This record gives sequence, structure tokens and C-alpha cells, in this order.
Amino acid sequence: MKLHSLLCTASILVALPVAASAAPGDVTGQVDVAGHVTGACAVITGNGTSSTFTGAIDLGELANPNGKLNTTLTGGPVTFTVVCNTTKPSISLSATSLVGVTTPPDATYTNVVGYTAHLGVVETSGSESFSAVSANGVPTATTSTLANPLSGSANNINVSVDTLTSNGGTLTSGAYGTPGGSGGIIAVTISPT
Amino acid sequence: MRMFNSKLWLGAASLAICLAPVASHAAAVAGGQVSGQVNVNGVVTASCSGSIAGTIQLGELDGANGQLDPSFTTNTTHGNTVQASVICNSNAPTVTISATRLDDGVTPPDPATYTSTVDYTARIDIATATPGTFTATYPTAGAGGPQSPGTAIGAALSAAPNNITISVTSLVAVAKVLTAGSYSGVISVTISPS
Repeated sequence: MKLHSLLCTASILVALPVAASAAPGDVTGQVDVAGHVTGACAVITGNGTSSTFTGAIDLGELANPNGKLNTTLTGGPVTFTVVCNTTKPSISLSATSLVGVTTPPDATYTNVVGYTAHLGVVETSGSESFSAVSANGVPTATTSTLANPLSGSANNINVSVDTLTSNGGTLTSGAYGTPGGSGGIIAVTISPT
Repeated sequence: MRMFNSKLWLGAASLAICLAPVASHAAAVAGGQVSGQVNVNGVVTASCSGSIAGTIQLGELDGANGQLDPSFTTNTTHGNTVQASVICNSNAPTVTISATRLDDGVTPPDPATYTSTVDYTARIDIATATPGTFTATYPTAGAGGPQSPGTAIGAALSAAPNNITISVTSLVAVAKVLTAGSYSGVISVTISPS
């Protein structure tokens, strides 16, 4: 009787590994398939992509007939198409003031023109606008996390300029901004997180 | 006396029946000896044994534009393969394969622009004793449930090690940006003796 019980116990122990099979005598297995998508943003350029975009906003003649800054000028927008695969991309926006190539002869003149740079972002739901006031030197960046993912539509990023400023002096003649003069650079960074 | 003779007659008949199966040995049996035979029986239940497990790593799925890297769409093996050794003692084993699509569990913020799933074709190659290779595939796109009741392999399995190879082919591209995250799917395989 004890031997019989022992044999039954042994049989159960041997049978246990088979319990996981779909049916007695079957071999079942599982193979996991894994991949990943790293958070990233890219600029769509026609059929290609790039990690950078460039554009130009030409404000034209900056001075009024009286030689002072025409503060009513506006520029842009210039548009770009950017895709990010994350749900909460972030942006950084900064700008440097336009600097003319000719140094002012005295305090009644100026070769520095400030402005406000605007960044418009079209999102999957609505859009957001950000702005940064230019600085003659190292600018302070405006940073923010977007409220929504970027829209997948074309031209979902736009950059524009308005609200020109100066010290009220007569603008020296010559080119302003880069190239020719210096400054006049709007820096935009769009990050996946 | 008459009754006694009747019992004797029945006894003789019984002896005749018992002796019949060993008639071939009768000549070798000497008087007064008893001969017999024992039949030995056994059974081998049709079964398969082995273990199938592993992970196929596809790596980075997206291309430069955020959509599925086009190189994944070819009808070739992508990522590593998983090999296994399975033994079946039958001549007519069957295989059932199914798979779930790759999914990173992220809800696409805008389904028209983004996707968080990738379909592919799961493939199993089985070395047979023919010799030869039997191949079964399972596309996850639009698929539901495993192949049923199982596809006949058509030959006994090869006894060589690593006679089972599981792979992934033909990822399906869609014109949508893949959401960032870790994508996973599962290929399920059952090999039955019949």
C-alpha cells in the first residue's frame, strides 16, 4: 500500500511540468518581440528630414524718412514642419537684437534694433504662441513644455517678428543683422521632452 | 459412474482449449511438464517535448521622419532569431502559431498623425526529417486568434538540435509617427504530435 502511494506521488511529480501545455504531449512556447522608439524630433524637408531648419526674415528698410526706427515693421511668418514622437515636446526661444555694421558716431545715433520674436506651434489640439524679447548680447531664452503633441500637419511651426525698438537715436546706415551686420538671430529648439 | 465420465469429458475439453495456444510448443514439451507464454506489451504515447522561449530584439523602430524605418518592411528576418529544440515521436506533428502586434501602450494623441502599434509577420521554420524545412507564418495585421486547428508539418521533425527557428519579418509601415516608448509583442507557438 505504501509502495502504491509512493508510485502515485512520483507519477504526479513527473506529470506536473506537462500541465502548462495546451494538451498532453504538446509543446507550447512563447517568444517575446521587443523594439523601441526613442523620443525624438525631426524637421521634415520635402521627402527628407533634418535636425535643423533655417530661414530668413527680411524687414527691409528699418528707418523712417526722419532716420529714426520704423517701429511698425513686422516680419514673417516663416514656416517649418517639425515632427516629434512624444506627447509633451518642449520649446526654447531666444533672439539677439539686430546690430548695424556702422558704429554710431555719438549718442544721437544707434545701430542696435531690438524686436520681439514669436514662435507659433500648431498642436494636435489648438496652438500655442511663445515670445522672446531680443537682447544685445546673450539673450534670455523662453522655455516651455507644450500643452499637446505637435500636429502632424505641414508648416506646424512659424516664426515672426514685431515690436521693433531702439534708443530713439538715428539709425546708422548699413546692413543690420547677420550677415552684413551682426545679431538678428532667432534661435529655436524643439525637444522631444 | 456415468456422471463421473461426463465430468472427465468436460475436463478433457478444457485441457484441449488451454493447450491450443501452445500447440507449437507441444512437440517440445515432455510428458508431465507445463509450458506457457507471456505476452509483453507497451505503448508510446504520441507526444512532443522541448522548450520554446526567448526574445527577439528589433531595436530602434523609427526612421528619421519618426515613422517606421522602411528597412523593417522587407520580407526578411529583422532582429535576432530564437531557436529551440523540439522532439516529437510522431510522423504527423502539427504546429500552431499566433502573435500579437507590437504596442508601446501609449494612447496616440492624434490617431491621424501618430500610432503606437506596429504589425509584423511572425514566422516559424521547422527542420524536418525529410530532410527539409516547413515554414508557417502569422501576420498580426487584422489577425485574430491562433491558426486553428494547427497546420500539418507534413513530416517528422528533425532530431537535430535547434530544429525550430522563430523570427519576425515584414513589419507594416503606416504613414504615421510612432509614439516614443518600448514596444512589445508576443509570438505563441504550439507543436503537437498530431
